[in-house]
Amino acid sequence: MAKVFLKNATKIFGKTVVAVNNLTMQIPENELVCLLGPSGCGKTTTMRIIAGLETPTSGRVYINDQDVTDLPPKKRNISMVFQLPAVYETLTAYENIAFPLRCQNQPREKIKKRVGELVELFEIRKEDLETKAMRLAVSDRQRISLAHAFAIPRNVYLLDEPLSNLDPKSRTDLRIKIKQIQKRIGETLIYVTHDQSEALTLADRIAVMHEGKLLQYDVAENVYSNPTNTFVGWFLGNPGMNFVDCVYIRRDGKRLLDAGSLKYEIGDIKGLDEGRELMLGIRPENIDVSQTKKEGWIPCECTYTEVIGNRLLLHLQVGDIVVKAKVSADLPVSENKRVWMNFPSEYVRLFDRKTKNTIS
Amino acid sequence: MPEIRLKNINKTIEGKEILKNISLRIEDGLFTCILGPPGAGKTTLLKIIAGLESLATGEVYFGEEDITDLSPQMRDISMVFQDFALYPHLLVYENIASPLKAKRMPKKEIRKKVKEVASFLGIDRLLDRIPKQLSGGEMQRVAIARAMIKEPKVYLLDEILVNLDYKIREEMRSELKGIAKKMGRTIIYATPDPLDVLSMADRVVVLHKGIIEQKGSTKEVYTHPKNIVVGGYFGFPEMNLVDCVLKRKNNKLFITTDELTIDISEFKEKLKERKEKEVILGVRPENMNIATEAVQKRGNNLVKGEVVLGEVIGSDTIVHVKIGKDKIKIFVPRIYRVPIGEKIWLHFNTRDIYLFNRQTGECILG
Repeated sequence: MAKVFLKNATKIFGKTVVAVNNLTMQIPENELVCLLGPSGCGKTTTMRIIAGLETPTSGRVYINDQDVTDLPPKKRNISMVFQLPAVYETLTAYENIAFPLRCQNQPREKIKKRVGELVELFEIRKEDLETKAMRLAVSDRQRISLAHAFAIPRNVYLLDEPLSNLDPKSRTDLRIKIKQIQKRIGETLIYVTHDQSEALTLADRIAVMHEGKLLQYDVAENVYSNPTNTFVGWFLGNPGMNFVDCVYIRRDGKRLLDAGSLKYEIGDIKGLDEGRELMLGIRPENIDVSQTKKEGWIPCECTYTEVIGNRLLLHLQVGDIVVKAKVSADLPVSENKRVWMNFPSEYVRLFDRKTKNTIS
Repeated sequence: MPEIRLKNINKTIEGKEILKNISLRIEDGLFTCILGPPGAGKTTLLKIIAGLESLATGEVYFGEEDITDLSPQMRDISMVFQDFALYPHLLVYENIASPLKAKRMPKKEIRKKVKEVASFLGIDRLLDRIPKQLSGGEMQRVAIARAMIKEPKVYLLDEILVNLDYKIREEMRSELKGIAKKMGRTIIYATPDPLDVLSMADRVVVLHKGIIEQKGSTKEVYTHPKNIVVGGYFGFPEMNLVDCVLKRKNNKLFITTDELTIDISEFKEKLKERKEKEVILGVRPENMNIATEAVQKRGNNLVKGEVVLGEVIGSDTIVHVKIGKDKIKIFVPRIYRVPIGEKIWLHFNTRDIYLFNRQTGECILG
């Protein structure tokens, strides 16, 4: 159990490649925090800095208020799991799991009991225990690396895309396991992933990274519902948030977001000057669509329909503006038909067009 | 453009039967998915169409023409593989141009065609890079561009989205569907992922252990699976399946499990010829709901369970629920963060159920 604090951590590879750019974040104890972002965003480097596998070019790392920046990995009492299962190929599954316990010279009986617990926890098949790790399937080997990582209490558990290489069935199984275990043992877990679904499934708190920078760090619900930046709004969700360029204006005593062919009435927003260039953001699943005319709703044309799994994605066009709305597959909408859409005000988010940051 | 017909195809590789008596008509100009788990024989089937696998028995027709013995180069077909297979040392431009160079087309013409295809796929700005400098999605587009430049009548795509990051995969699905629509060519796409089929395909062929279990329009096969192999596999998330017993009592019809009894007398007529008692109840996750209080009060078709995990997929949530020994999935069309261990009531409509014979797997209702 430990909290982790990164203070102005920067990592520059070579002379010019800034992998992590002045990152400050506090990871509270007993939480599952996901570092989320596309390939190359610096999430793995951040995790490696916490682990001690990389030394930050500048900035400090603290575990439980102790400055560990210059401590080697093995002195930090952490464990790690990687995308590719790291197991001792020539040892049996049992020996692999027991290894960290043996290193502590624990008595044989105690080791046996603990391995038994872990085998049950990760649903490792009993018949696999005496099999050499190299003969097992990838997903079974990953179960063993996880059991190995959780064998003895650590300050922090670091998991780097541990499920990315698995088949969908094992991935779902192990997602359930990891979440259950973290809830049960209540430890600090840092989980790196590029998959927003995985982050929203597992994390108490999500740190969204992009080009080495920390864009948003908040509880999972907030990152999804109140993105601080258009990138975050786009990256989470399938498809991501819609953005419509607009200008804040007043007309006939009303306050409007003027997007040319679309005008959206909005309440008074303090500190927002008339003429300010904005982007209106709304998630596809939050747009209401009707086949019949409704007062105050926006008339538009459905130009394209796409099936996503058991949902329907509509491309709705007004003038030169296109937004995507995700609706039930039962809705009998066809292409090139007039429909009406509504943006419920509780789901509308505003962003500055230049900085791409949210306006509160 | 002609249709493709496969007639009585058998294929054995190293003593293992990969495809068993496959006969199939692939309609011209449509997007057809070959859906099946790993090892079903999907890739082998594509390779046979491409001419990359020889045949001991069976025939392949392109329209009226028997092309069984025609070499791959002579078939008007392009195949794109899962691992892209780009030339790592060549520029993107050269990668795309390679099939035309092999045909010794004049340079000027090649340049024109590469530019056209690249702009069609939105990769014109990448032409001077080498594959290493591209993202997964970009590499995939280059591979598609290289296939397109030959202007084949038929495209064979083998699990081409599997290796991409989640977000890019989602975008590529929508893009690929758009590209297919614009080109109007025949596309045969092999995949283990039902979402690919639901999102892109006009037609689906469900392949399982070398046998075609069912073929037809995507909607038809989804709504009316012939058997439990198709019903259980083709869906996202997969259909919930629970062992049940069919009972007749007082002129009424019930299915019962340890946890609940459901009155399905509405299907009495439909099922009156059926003799089996042991059945499997199938309910798709999108047809299950978390019961509101009002529904709970009515009290029909309700079953209590414990939440195992709320798994977010895109902007939807699959709630995994434990009911007795069974594990059930519910599809919730929004982000729904439900605490682990929470007790919830589940509800479904009998009109949405499927029943399968437990011995034969045949679909008897749905």
